[in-house]
Amino acid sequence: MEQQQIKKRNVTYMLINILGPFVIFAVCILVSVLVEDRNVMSGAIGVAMVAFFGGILWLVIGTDIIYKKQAKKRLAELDATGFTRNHTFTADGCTVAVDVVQGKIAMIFKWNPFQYSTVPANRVTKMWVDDGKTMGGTSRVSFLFVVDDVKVRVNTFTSNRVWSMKSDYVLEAISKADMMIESLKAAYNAAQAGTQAGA
Amino acid sequence: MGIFDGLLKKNRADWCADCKTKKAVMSQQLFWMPMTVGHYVSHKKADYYLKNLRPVAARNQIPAGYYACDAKMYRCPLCGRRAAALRIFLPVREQDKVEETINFNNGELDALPGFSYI
Repeated sequence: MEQQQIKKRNVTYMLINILGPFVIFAVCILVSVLVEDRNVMSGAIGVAMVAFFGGILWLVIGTDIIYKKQAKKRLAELDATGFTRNHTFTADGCTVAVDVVQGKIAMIFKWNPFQYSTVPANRVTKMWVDDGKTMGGTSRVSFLFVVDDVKVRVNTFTSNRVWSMKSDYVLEAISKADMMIESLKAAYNAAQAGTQAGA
Repeated sequence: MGIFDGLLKKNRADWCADCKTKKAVMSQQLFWMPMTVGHYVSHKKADYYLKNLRPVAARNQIPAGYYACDAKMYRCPLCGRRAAALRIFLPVREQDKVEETINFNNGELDALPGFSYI
């Protein structure tokens, strides 16, 4: 099974997604300034506008669509390797799958959706739930773990407003985060037991 | 007791509509349900509960992210009529996220393990 270092971001993919539409925009603006033909000029401005607004739309929606489709494909590939997904959690920026029996964790990141990383769970040095509690409640609940000195945060709830800690959404999110941490701990114990048995 | 009050209590497991009296709790048991957070599906038939509920001694035996069911058996002290009430909830640390309470008034859950009309 593929086991590599955690790579949260694929820089080339990020640059293409973020800068690509704006490069097209800049080129079209340049063309519209340099050429004298009115038709070419208006065409270039039109393309520039499409590139500008399309680029924003792409960043908001398109990258999410690619991430979700690729995550599904990567999970299917992962299943084919014999990884048993006892728990899988897909969040907005990261998908985490845990094989409790073999003691392994697999991760797929939004900004690196064309590959997955699998690591033995005993490479995790810290894991915890962050309920984001402030005075009035919370607007984010997540579970976090540190593997190979890389901190991975997986949100189970995000909102642009603050919710009471007793609200159904928050309770459900805390429960999801608790469940994932429990399964990570179980995987960690299985990996440790496997290492000791092998030694 | 007014008519309105009677209508409100009519479908409650702890109320005998015939005798107009409060039923007594005969037993109470906590169960673990094989259903995880985010995947709750309501089941109205007793068969599901008879097959899937597993009795647990305490709340801390329910794994994180799993649903629980607090079941109470009632019996009317006058006519002996029995009923069961299942309160289905997600235990989250010290809190409960209650999904629903389902009543069975015809002895459908009599065979539930760890549950009796003693």
